[in-house]
Amino acid sequence: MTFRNRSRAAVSLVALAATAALLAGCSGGSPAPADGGNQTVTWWTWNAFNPDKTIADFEAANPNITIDYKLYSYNDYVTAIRTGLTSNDGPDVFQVQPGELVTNFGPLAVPLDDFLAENGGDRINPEGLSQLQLDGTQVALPSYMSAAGLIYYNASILDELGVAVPTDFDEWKTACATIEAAGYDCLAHGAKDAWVNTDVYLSLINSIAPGDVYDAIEGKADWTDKPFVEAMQAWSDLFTSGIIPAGATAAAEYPDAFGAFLEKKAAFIALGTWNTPGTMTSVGIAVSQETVTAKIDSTYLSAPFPAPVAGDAPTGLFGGPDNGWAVSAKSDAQDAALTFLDFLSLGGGQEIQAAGGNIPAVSDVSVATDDVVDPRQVADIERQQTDLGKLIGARQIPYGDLATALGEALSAVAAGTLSPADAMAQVQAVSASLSR
Amino acid sequence: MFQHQKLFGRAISQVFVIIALALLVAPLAMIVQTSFQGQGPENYVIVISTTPFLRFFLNSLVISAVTVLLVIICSISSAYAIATLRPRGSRLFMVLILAGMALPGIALIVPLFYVIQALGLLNTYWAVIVPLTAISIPFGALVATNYIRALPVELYEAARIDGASNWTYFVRILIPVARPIIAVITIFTFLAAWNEYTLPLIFIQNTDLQVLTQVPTYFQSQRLVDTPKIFAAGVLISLPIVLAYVLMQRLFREGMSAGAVK
Amino acid sequence: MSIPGGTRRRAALSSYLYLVPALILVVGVVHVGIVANITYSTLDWNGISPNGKPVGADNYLKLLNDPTFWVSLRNTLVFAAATIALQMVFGFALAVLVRTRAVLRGLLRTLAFVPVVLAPAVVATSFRFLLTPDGSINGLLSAVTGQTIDQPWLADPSTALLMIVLINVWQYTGYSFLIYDAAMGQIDTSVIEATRIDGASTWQLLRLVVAPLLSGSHLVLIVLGVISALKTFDLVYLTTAGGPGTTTQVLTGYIYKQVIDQFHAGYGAALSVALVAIALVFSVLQVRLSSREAK
Repeated sequence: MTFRNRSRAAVSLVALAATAALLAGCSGGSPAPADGGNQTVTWWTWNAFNPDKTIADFEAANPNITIDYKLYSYNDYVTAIRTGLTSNDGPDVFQVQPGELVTNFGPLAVPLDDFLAENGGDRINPEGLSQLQLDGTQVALPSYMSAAGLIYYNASILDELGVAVPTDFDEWKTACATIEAAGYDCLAHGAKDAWVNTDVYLSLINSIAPGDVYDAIEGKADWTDKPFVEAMQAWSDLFTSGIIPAGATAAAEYPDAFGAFLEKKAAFIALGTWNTPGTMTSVGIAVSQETVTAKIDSTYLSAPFPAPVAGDAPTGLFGGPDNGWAVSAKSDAQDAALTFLDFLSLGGGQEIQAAGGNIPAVSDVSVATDDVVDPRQVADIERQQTDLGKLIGARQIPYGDLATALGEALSAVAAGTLSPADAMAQVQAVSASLSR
Repeated sequence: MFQHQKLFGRAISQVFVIIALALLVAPLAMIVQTSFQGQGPENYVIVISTTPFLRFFLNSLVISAVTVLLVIICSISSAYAIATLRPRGSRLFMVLILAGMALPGIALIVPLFYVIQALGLLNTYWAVIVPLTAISIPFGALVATNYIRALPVELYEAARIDGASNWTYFVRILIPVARPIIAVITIFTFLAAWNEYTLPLIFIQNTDLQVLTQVPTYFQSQRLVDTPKIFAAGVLISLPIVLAYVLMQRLFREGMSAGAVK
Repeated sequence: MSIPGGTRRRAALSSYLYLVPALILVVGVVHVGIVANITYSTLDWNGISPNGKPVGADNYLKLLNDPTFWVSLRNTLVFAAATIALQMVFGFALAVLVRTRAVLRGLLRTLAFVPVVLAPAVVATSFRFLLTPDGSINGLLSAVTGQTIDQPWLADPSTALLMIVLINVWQYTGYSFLIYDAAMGQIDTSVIEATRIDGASTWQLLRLVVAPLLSGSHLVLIVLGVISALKTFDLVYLTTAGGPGTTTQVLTGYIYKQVIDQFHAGYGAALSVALVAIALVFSVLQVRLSSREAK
């Protein structure tokens, strides 16, 4: 074939493909009609725990409902959900978390107050409900509870080096000296991620001046007040003293820091109770194992994040619902969606969370402790669940601009380009300009 | 250029060639190496078997092919007008077409969403093809215009003297002569369409129509990032184009020399 | 090439027809997008609720006083200048290298374009791993220099932007190489020979004869390079996310952050309009210069 004939053939092929595509592509978008009672519930998440079992159990108990599950990475989720919730082909049940997501997407969700009243909503942890409300309306129900203010540590490393778990920075620096001399990093940290930097800052400020930060967030206290600057100084200290290794500002918490922690390259990591399944249960560890090459054979335990000031009490737990489920107001399968919601937040879904090592949103279900790898982890997990009943406050800062300002300040101080005092001045400037 | 190279010159150029090769190959090797961590070569099997890989591959192929076709048609015809026919104001058209090049994707999404939804194209291939074509036309128009400008003036004039209409010249003479630049536009547009991530993410909700660039996302959730498999997926996605380039090098280079630029 | 006299008017009308397909698509999608952004930029809007609050030119005033905007703009322009300059130099050098008598130059020719076709996400993530303090790049440098090198390339504010430039250069030098390769192939060999006979060294040959002959290529690479640099997003977002602090933040990343993370769609739109305005200046320049070339 000459070139001309070949390209003609190619053009006809493409034209044929295009026609086929047109036909196929056009028919792909019609919504699933409720035929003979069979409904489809579209479920969008960025972070669902054990979705396979959740879907299997739910569909077994509700043979008329099929779950169409979509998992996004967080950034993709926040981008896609905007158009998803305004289109006619979007999700029926979608995920939110306390803060800006509730504020902005709450209005697009079905109010759940009546649903709660009719379905035993009083079983749910009140903190889990309150952080998912918008102007007094319940817009989402919690999936499971989680809190930060902890460090997880590699008990095997600490045991083998004879190091005790530090309770303040002085003890920590001494411990780190020994740990680093043995060739490990001390605190694995992905300072590229604003959320984990904020968790650590909250851990610091909630030890120096418990609860005051929540006043500052609401504009009732100045971020340039002494305790806040002290906490920022302590944050800077983590980097200059070598507790956090060099290069952290370019590392992501997942997978970089967490991977280093799993592979026994670092002794500590600042994560919250959501980290328990992946480090303390055999099922969870098997999942973690798939992402790293080195074999995971250490024992992991948790402890409060050490206090910056020697002798001070460390921070209490802060957190709330790790994330929540909402029903889209544009959903054409609301009843089915609400049935699924009931399963997730009040029914079998809660059992799945507890069995996996997460702290359920309903107060009458306990976290399972039978799948742990080491007996010390049982007490650890039970302590986490008890402490979750005494939260000091939330993890998320409800105002996007303030959260960004704090994140950037933390990042700049970590990199050494901004002094703690200047950083807090910047945060205060943004905080003052917010209309709350 | 270097018909007779002295030994010294040859040695220096050899060293540079080796360094250049090393710099190019090293990161590539590390990418492949990372894809073999964790569960090893099984990563590739897992990527293909646990995701709708084949389905996505076909969707990507259709979307890319149709986009390329549309871009070629629009680029060559507009370049023809701007470079050969030159009606009044065509330079303005060129500026208009080029100015479109810089709009960042994120700025396009909200207005595009309303347009696509209004047209009822949401959740179809067209939701991706139409915007992709629109943002790829400027480049195609640019290189095609350069190319056509470089053609000998006599070609058009002779055809007109022979009585050919603008259309006849376009179809019978210009398009065949423009084959090399068509090859160039094809490769670059196909590349952009094949690697497009954000448009399919937002405008295609139906998993049956989703594209290949979504495959890596199956291996990351908020707290579990399976890097080796993500890299394996990345390698698999890049492979077709690398192969296509290696096989079509000669034709592609002919297109570039024949006047992508002077 | 102009159309002979009398039929000009009729011909002109049908000539416009050839522009129609491209115009419908580009105007319908991109220019509608630009106009929409101009409209949104006058609102205080979160991008989701049905109505935004009109605020006139407030967003533009805010933009002019926003230090992060100026930092992002500066970073974007520095990034553009550095990547374009380096890519042109290295691309030119590669095009020369494949014309020497060195062994493996054919392999070089093939391999140079491979990074160009890789998905930006894969490249960004890979280099993030390679540039860690205990990563392969430091390993290589340590081996070569004999000292322990553990510089945190992407975490250090003084080297982060440079690294992003270098990653981009690594990926896209193949592109300028291709263009120079093609253009050099068109140079009349007799010109080269004549210069050689006159006793010119290789360096003189390249600088005084070859480079000037390639001015068309230089121009295209600069313009395409600027537009492409203005649009760079994935590379920065996936390596440093604009950090540490805002030392590597670029305009597109800042727009993304404002719109997606902070729900300021109106302000994000104003930033986008600023970006398009900058690109428009370069586009006009390009059209002027290239049509002057053609005469």
